[in-house]
Amino acid sequence: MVRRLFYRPYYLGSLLGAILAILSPPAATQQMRLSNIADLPLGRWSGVGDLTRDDDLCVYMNPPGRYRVTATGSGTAGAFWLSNGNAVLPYAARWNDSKGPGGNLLTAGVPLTNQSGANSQRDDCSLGGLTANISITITTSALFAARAGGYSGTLTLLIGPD
Amino acid sequence: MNAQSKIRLVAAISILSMSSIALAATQGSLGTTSTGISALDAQIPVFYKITDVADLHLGIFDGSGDMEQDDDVCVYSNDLGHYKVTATGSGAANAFTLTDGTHTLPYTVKWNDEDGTNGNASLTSGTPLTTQTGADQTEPDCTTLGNNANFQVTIAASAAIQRPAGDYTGTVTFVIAEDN
Repeated sequence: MVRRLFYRPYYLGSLLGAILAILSPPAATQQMRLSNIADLPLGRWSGVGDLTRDDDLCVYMNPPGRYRVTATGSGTAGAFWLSNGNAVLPYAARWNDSKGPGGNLLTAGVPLTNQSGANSQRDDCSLGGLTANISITITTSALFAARAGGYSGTLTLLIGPD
Repeated sequence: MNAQSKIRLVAAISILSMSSIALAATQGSLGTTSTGISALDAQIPVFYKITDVADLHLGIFDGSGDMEQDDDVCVYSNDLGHYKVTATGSGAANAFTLTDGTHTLPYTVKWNDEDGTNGNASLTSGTPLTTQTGADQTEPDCTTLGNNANFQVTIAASAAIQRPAGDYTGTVTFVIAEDN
């Protein structure tokens, strides 16, 4: 008699746990996508002023939340450099977690955290619109100090949950 | 004889055309993280610049000595620091002459690709003086390294003494360009 009484509560607890597991769906895996990226031709320098170019991007995140972005250039150790094969031309990169240039300066290889405003409706932002911006600046002083020629490089952007 | 000369100088920039490089952005994929890549490029033409140019006041002829002035200037080039310089005057057919409105007063011009006049070379109006070196390759105003060229103007006493008294003025134009 005692033995059967002892097991009954334990059996009910296990049954309840199984029922709850069936009713509760598994935690959603956060999905992210960076898209609408364009190449950034900064053009031919006129001899006056900085060279600048920016691009509105799509950052998708679902479930919504905060994200981080890490940028690396194609220079040595991921430096933000363009190259003509012999010489380098440094640039600055800035990330904005909304459309249009602005936001925060990026440091190569260092995550910029606490970014918000990602699109959670469509992974190409075709609904809800673009949500971020990358801008590139080559300063006048850097341009004057560089040799004449064509310079090129790449900028890699990695987004992930924060 | 009273002679006064004033020389105004201008600068010129030579620009060559350049072509852009083929590009191809990479879009990120859907995942727990996402990576995109953008290609960047820029073109810097060959540039030259001459600055810190001053007017030259050669003063009042004393009746016996040459009248002479020189000026250190800054030459900038982003093309290995080499250049050629061509000077033209404001006289007929770009001659190196000043005028009082009626009479002309010839002068000579020399160029040095270092500051100061030591080792300078004579210029012929409209004829490039080639293989000049030492242009500043980092700053268009030579702020850090200082001026790196010089031009010198001389009015020979033998020319001045033959001219009526008066004020004689003119300009000399220097063009800095690529040394092909």
